[in-house]
Amino acid sequence: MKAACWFGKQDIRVEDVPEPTLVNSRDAIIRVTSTAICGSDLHLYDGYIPTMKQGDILGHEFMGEVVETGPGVQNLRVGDRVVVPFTIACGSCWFCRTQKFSLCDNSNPNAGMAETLYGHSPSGLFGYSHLLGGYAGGQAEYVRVPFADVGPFKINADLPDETVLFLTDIFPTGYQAAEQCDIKRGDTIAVWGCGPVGQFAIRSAFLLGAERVIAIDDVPERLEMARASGAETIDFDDEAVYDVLLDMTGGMGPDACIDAVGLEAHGATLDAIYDRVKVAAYMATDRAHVLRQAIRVCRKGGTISIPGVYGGLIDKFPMGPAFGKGLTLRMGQTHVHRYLPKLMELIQSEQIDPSFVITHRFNLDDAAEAYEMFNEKRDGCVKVVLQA
Amino acid sequence: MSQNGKCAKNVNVGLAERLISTIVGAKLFTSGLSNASTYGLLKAGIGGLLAHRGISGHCSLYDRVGAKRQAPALSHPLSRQIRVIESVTINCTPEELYSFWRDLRNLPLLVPQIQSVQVTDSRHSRWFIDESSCPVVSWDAFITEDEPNTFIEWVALDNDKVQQRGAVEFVPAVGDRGTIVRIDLKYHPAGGALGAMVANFMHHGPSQDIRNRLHQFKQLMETGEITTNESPSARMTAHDERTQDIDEELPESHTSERAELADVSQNPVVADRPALSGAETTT
Repeated sequence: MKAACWFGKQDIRVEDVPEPTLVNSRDAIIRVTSTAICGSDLHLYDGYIPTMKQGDILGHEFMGEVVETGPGVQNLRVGDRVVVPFTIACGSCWFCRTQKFSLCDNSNPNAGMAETLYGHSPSGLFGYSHLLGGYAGGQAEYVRVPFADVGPFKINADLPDETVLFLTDIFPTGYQAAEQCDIKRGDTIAVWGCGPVGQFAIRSAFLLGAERVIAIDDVPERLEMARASGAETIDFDDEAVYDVLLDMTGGMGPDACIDAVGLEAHGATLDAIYDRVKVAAYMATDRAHVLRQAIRVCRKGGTISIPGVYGGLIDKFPMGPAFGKGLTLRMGQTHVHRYLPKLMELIQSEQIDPSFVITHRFNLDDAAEAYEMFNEKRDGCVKVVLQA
Repeated sequence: MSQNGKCAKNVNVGLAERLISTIVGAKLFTSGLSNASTYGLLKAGIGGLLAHRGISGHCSLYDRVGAKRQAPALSHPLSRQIRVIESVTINCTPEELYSFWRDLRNLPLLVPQIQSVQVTDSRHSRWFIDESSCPVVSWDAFITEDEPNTFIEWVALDNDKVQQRGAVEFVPAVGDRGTIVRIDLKYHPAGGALGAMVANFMHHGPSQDIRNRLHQFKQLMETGEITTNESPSARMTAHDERTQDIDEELPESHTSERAELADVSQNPVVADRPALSGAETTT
């Protein structure tokens, strides 16, 4: 079968690889009909996430048709159309039972490796490094889905792939980011990063009752898309974010700040340049320019919500300001399973059509070109869908 | 058994720090002695203290300032015995976990190097090892204490000589979190105590290995199967993958073994895919 494989920094190749088979009784094999490249795939593409190996199949946003199920999977039938959460969850550990699916105790076969680095292991993810499970990803024709009686979400409605595909990751991720802000009437939410997750965070914040959303980026098409969702925007190339945000909020600062950027923050401020140098010299791994800015500008007693991925260590974390202002920090991978019924309802009641973020469509064969274009943000590229 | 031994109680210096302390101390001590001055003697004195601190694993200064550290593998570097204590919380009752464990024939599921267990009577058993993974091919085990649903203690004998003492206890966890399974192993490793100490420092040692086994025990009891990333099928068999130390060697990437794959990839039609085979890792 065809699959997009990682071969090194900015080196993605579509290779002919063997098809997956059932291994455990709770497995299913899915024939992928649509898959997408996630902003967090670009962290792999740029070589920021450790423990990738040559030949790893990428992709954690995918949906398709069930072609085979193990004897332990009673809720799916061959031919069912499903979207698959990117976090793998067993459904029976303490974390799954308390709805913290992305912290599942049992789904990472390489838990020992993650424990060495993080102290504990989060759940396994599809196609996202050996540290997080070493599972083959979904930018392929077929995928083996473990714990298929827990993860895959059946799509019975007659909706096109593009409308439901983003239930796998970016829609719930944006929604969880907004939900973590604990939005109350009259709240102003600032969102750094107008990539796909940022776009869903903006829409979700409005759905959850935010009065104003202020979006920050420097890519014109992304800012335009944010405005189309009802957000006010700041181009960080032209304006001083802290000053403008304070001015827009009468000096109070936004009630909550969403960092939908993560470890590859760009910027031309002194601390952003300092981060670049340190990372280049292998003295730090993550660039936290956005996080620092959000902590500085957030309203006292406000919330910093972090859907953007961080992988290792950051330098010069402003703990004093965060403490002094009594901020709440909320973060982590998305508990996708928790949100699926609710978000499906929003789609079916036409309160949102997630396909609004799609700007490009490619065939899986052209994955390398798609990665390059998305990474360079060429041609107004916001979200790429690959058809298998 | 949840109480650590006397030696363990005094250990408050981490393993890596002990190693460094011993090496630096010994170096200072010898170079200090070769210089017969007050300075030399002072150097030798400091070196001696550092080396003692490294070897004993106890630092009085840490005691004074309250910086008490627990070494995870409670092994004395100069004794020939390794001690490992690890625990995991499993969402099952003590009864369920005890019964799985007490049926010794289940244990090869967790340690694939063990080929089979022959239960002779309620307390005696004989264990057989996959020859390729260990020079010892079999040993006898004897259960010395057995408290249903609570505690099992055993010794493993090689030619009537005790090679390993082990115990496992099952303690109800607080709240609704299931049962804490705590393992306490004391054994004589290959390569002597120092080899095991260095291996442990490199995170490839007995602690990590036991912790990985406990993870797999938890997976099996909570989900009915041992989690694996094996896929596509041509990489390795489930058994091969489980036998390698997860932390020692990352599992093979999904497609790297390209040479072997050529014939398998001629199989693009779904219907041709072999049905669920004996690759099951659960029973």
